[in-house]
Amino acid sequence: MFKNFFITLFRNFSRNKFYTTINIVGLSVGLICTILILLFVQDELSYDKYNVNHERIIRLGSDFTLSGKRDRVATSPLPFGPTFAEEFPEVEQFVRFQGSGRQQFKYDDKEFYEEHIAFADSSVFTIFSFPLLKGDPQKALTQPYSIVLNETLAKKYFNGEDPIGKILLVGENTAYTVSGVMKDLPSNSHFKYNAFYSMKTLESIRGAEQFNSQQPISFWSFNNYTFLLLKENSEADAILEKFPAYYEKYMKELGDQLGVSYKLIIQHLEDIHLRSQLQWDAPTGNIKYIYILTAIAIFILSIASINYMNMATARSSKRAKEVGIRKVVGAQRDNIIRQFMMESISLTVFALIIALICVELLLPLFNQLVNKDLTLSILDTPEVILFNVILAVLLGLISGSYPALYLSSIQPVFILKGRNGKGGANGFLRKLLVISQFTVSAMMISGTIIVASQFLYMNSMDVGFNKKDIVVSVIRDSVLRTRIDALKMELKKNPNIKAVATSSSLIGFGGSKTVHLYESDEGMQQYALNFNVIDFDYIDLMEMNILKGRNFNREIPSDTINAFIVNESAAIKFNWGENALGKKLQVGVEIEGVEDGGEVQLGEVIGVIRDFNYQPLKDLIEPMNLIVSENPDYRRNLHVKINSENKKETLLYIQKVWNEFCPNMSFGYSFLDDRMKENYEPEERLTWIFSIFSLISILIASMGLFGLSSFMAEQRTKELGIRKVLGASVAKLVYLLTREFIRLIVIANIVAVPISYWALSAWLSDFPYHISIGIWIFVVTLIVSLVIGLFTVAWQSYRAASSDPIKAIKYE
Amino acid sequence: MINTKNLIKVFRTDEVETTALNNVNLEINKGEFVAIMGPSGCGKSTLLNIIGLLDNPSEGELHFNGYQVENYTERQRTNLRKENIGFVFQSFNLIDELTVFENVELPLLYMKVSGAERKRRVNEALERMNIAHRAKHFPQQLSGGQQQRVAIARAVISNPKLILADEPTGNLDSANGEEVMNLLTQLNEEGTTIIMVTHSPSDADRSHRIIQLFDGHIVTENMRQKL
Ligand SMILES: Nc1ncnc2c1ncn2[C@@H]1O[C@H](COP(=O)(O)OP(=O)(O)OP(=O)(O)O)[C@@H](O)[C@H]1O
Ligand SMILES: [Mg+2]
Repeated sequence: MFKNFFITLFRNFSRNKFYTTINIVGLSVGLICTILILLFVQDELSYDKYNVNHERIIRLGSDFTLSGKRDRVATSPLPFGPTFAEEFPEVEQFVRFQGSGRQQFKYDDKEFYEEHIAFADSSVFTIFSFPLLKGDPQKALTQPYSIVLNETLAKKYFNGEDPIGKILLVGENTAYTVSGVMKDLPSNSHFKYNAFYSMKTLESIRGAEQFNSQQPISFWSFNNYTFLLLKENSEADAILEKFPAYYEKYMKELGDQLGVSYKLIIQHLEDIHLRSQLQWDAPTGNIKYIYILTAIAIFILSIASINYMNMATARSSKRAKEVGIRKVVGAQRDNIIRQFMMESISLTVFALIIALICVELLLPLFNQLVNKDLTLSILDTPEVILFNVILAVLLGLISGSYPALYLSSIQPVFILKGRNGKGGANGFLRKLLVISQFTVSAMMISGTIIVASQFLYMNSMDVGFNKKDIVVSVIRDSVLRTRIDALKMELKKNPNIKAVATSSSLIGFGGSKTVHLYESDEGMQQYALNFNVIDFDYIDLMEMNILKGRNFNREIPSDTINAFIVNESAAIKFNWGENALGKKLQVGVEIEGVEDGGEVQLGEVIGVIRDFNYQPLKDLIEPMNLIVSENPDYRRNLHVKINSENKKETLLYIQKVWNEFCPNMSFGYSFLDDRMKENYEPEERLTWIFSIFSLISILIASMGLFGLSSFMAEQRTKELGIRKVLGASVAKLVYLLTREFIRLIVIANIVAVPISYWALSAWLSDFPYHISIGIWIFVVTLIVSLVIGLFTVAWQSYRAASSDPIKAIKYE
Repeated sequence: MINTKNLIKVFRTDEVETTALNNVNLEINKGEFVAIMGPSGCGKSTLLNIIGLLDNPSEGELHFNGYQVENYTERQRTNLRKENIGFVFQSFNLIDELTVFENVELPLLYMKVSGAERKRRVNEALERMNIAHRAKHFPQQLSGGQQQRVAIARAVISNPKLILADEPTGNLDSANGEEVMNLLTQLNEEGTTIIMVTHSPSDADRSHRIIQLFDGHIVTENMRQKL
C-alpha cells in the first residue's frame, strides 16, 4: 500500500517538475525562515536560564517618585544586599554588581581598553553559574584589588602564562591581582561582564565604615545591581509583602524628608532579558520582537502552505481521473484522503530536509544579522529539530487537507465520463487563498516601509543639536581633566578643529538627575531634574538654540556660581511661561542631620534653550538644567568638532596631542552620531529582518501566483486559441488573463490596510518620536504588490496569448 | 443476480433536469452475458454505473446478489463493489503514473491482499491476458488493444462475479476489438456474468441477450439462444 503511494507520489512529482519545484522551494524557504526564527526565539527565551539557580534568583529594582516624577530603575541601594539578607529569612545569599565603565588594562607591553567590567561580591560564583577555570570560586573575590578575568581576556594578556597571581594594571596604574579565570559568559546571558573586580576593592577605597554604612542616605542612592538567591521553596512575593516594615525601619524618615515615595521592584532573573523595561538596565531584548518574528514565521509558512493547496487543487482535474479509477477499483474515501495527506507530508518532510541543510549553510550569515551565536544540531537543539519535524508533518497535514478532502469527494462517475470536475466552489476558494496570501504580503511590505522609515526618521530627526563630525572621548585621567584648557588651545591650533568642549554626561545617552528646587507661586518646590554640567564652549559646539536670554559667558565669572540655562520643557513644567528668565533654581537640597548631602547651588535662569534630545529618542524630552562649571571633576566627556574633510589627518592630530598630554592612557574615541546610531540598533536590526523576510514572503507568494497563472493559462489554451482566431489581439488576451489576478491583489491590499494600520500603530506607539502612518504607505504597498503580481502573471499570460492559435486549438 | 424495479435516474444541473433512466425494470441472472444497446444519450452508461454501484438511483429498487442496495452509502457500495464487480471502459482508464503491473495490482491493494499473493495473481492475470511481457511498461507505451487487455486484467484480478464493460471496443480497431471480445466471452464461459454496453451489432452477437434502451426506457429484450 505504502509502496504504491510513494510510487504514484514520485512519478507524479517527476512528471510535474515545474509545480513540484515551486512547492518544494516555497515550503523549504518557508521552513528555513521558520527554523531560523525559531532558533532566534528559543535563544531569546533561554536567556539566563543556564544558571542552575535561575528559578531562585531575583533582582531588586527601584520605583521612586519625586515631586510627581516617577522613575523605575534596575538598580538599588548598596545596603539592600546585606540588610535584606538579615531581615528576610527567604534570602539565602546576595550579590551586588557595580559597573565601572571602560578601563585601560595593562600587562607588560599589552595595553588595551576593556569594557563590561564590574565590581562584584565574592558570592557571585556561588549564586550564578559562572564556572571558574582557574582559582577558587569561594575565595577569588574575597580580597581587595583582586580581579577575575574571563578566558578571552586571560588569553589576551597572559597568552600561555598562568595568570593567577599576576599583577594587572588598571586605569591610572591601580594594581589588581588576578585571582581567577572564568569561562566567558554564554551569549544568552543578560550580563555581558568580561571581568570582575572584588567588591572589597570598593570597600577599601571608600573605607569600610562608609562602604558598609547603614546611614539613611546610603539607602537613597541607587547605584548597584542587587541580586538575591532565595532559599528553596521561598516566594519572592513574601519579600514584597514584608517590605513596608523594612521601609519603615530603614528608609521612611529620610524619604519623607526628601518627599520621595519608594516601591520595591522584584524581577525574576529569567524575566530580565525580555520583560524588563527599566532605566539603567543592561541592553535587553524585547518580547514584542519575539511576537513579531513569530508572526512573520507563521505568515511565511502559511503563504507556502497556501501555495501548495492552490496548486494541488488547481491541478485536481488532472488528478481527478486517478481518484476516479482508484475509487472504481475499490478505494474508499479515506484511502484517497490518506494518499493525498501522505503526499503532502512527504513533500513537506522533503522540504524540511532541504531546509535543514540550507539553515546549516545560512546560519553564519543569520548570526551576523541578529548578532547571535546560534547553532543547529541534534545535540544542542534537539527540541528545535523535533519541533520542526512535527511542524513539517503538521504543515503537510494542513496543506494536504484541503486538496485531500476536495479530491476524495470526487465521484468516480463524473470522471469516467470524461467530464472534468471544473468545480466552481473550488475556484472561489482558490481566489480566497490568493487573496489571503497577498494580504499577508501586503502587510509585510507596509511593515517594511514603516519600520525602515521609522529607523531613518530617528536617525535623521532634528534632535536640537548638530551631531555631525563630533569626536567624543571619555577623559579618565584626572590629571588631564585639570589641563583641559591647555589641551583645548593645543587642539585648536589645527585649522580642521572647529571647537572643543567638555560635559559631565554624554548627550544622547540620558544624563544625571538630582533634586532641584524651583521657584513657583507657592514658593520653592522640589523636582528631580536632569542636569548636565558643561563648559563655556559646549552650547556653541553643539549648535544648540538659545530661545531666550543668553548663553553662558566666560567674561561673567558668576555664571559658574549662580547661572542656569533650562530647556523649554523645564520652563513649561515649572509653569514659568514666558517669564522664565530670572526665575530662581537650586541644585540639590540641604538635608538636616546629613553632612554628605551633596553641594547646594542656588541661582537663577539666564537662558532658555530649545529642547534637544539628550536621551535616546526612545524617551520623551524631559525638563533639564544646564550648569556651567570649570571644576575638573565634571570634565568627563571631551567633544571635538572637526571639519568634515580631512578627518583622518585631524584624528591623527588629536591623537598626537592627546598622547602628549596623557602618555599613560591611549586615545579612545568615537563619533557622536555613530554612538547615537547604536541606540537604534534594535530598530536597525528589525528593519533588516523585516525587509529580508518580507522579500521572502513576497517571493514565495509570487512563485505560487506564477504556478497558478501558468496553470490557468495552460487550461485556457484552447479558449485563447479560438479567441485569437476570431481576431483578439495579444494585449487583449493578456488583459483577459491578468484581470482576475489584479482584482485579487487589489482586494488583498484593501483587506491588509486595517490590519497593518492596527499592528503598525501599536508598534510605533512605543516611540515617543515617530512617523505617522500616511496613506502613501498603503498606496506604495499596492503599487509594489501590483507590479510584482503583474510581472509574475503577465509573463505566463503573454506566453499563452502569443502562442500559435492553430496549435492551441488542436491541443486537447 | 441483479434485479431493478422502476429504476429512475434524474440529473439536475442548474436549470436543466435530465431523466436519464425512466422506470427501468431489469433482471439479470448469474452467468448471463447481456448487451445493452441504444442511441447515444439514451442512458446506457447511466444504467451501467448504477448497476456497478458507482452511482445511486434517484428512485426505484436495486437488488444486487440478494442485497437491496439503492440506499447504500458510498462506503457500503465500495465494499460490495470491490469484492464483486470488475469494470472495463471504452477509454481504458488506466492510471498513467503506474506501470501495467501496478495498475492491475491496484484493486488487490484496496482488498488488503498480501504482497506475495498479489504478485502471483497479477502475473497470472497478465499471463492470461497475454500482456505479461509489458508488465513494467506505462500505459502510454502500449497500443489501445494492449491497454484494454490490461484493463480487463485489472477487472478480473479480484475474481469478480460480474464484469461491466462500457463500449470496451469503442476505441479499438476490429482486430483488437475481436481479441477483447474473445477474452470477455471466455470469461463468461468460465462463469462470470457480463454486462456490456456496445454500439457494435457484431459485438452484441456474442451476448445471450440484448437490451435495447431508448430515452431511458427499455424497449425490447431479445433473448438469444446461444448456438
Ligand atoms: N452527470 C450528469 N449530469 C447531467 N446529465 C447527465 C449526467 N450524466 C448523464 N447525463 C445525461 O443523461 C443522459 C444519459 O447519458 P448516458 O451517458 O447514460 O448516455 P449513453 O447512453 O451512455 O450515451 P453514449 O452512447 O453517448 O455513451 C444524457 O442525456 C446525458 O446528457
Ligand atoms: Mg455511454
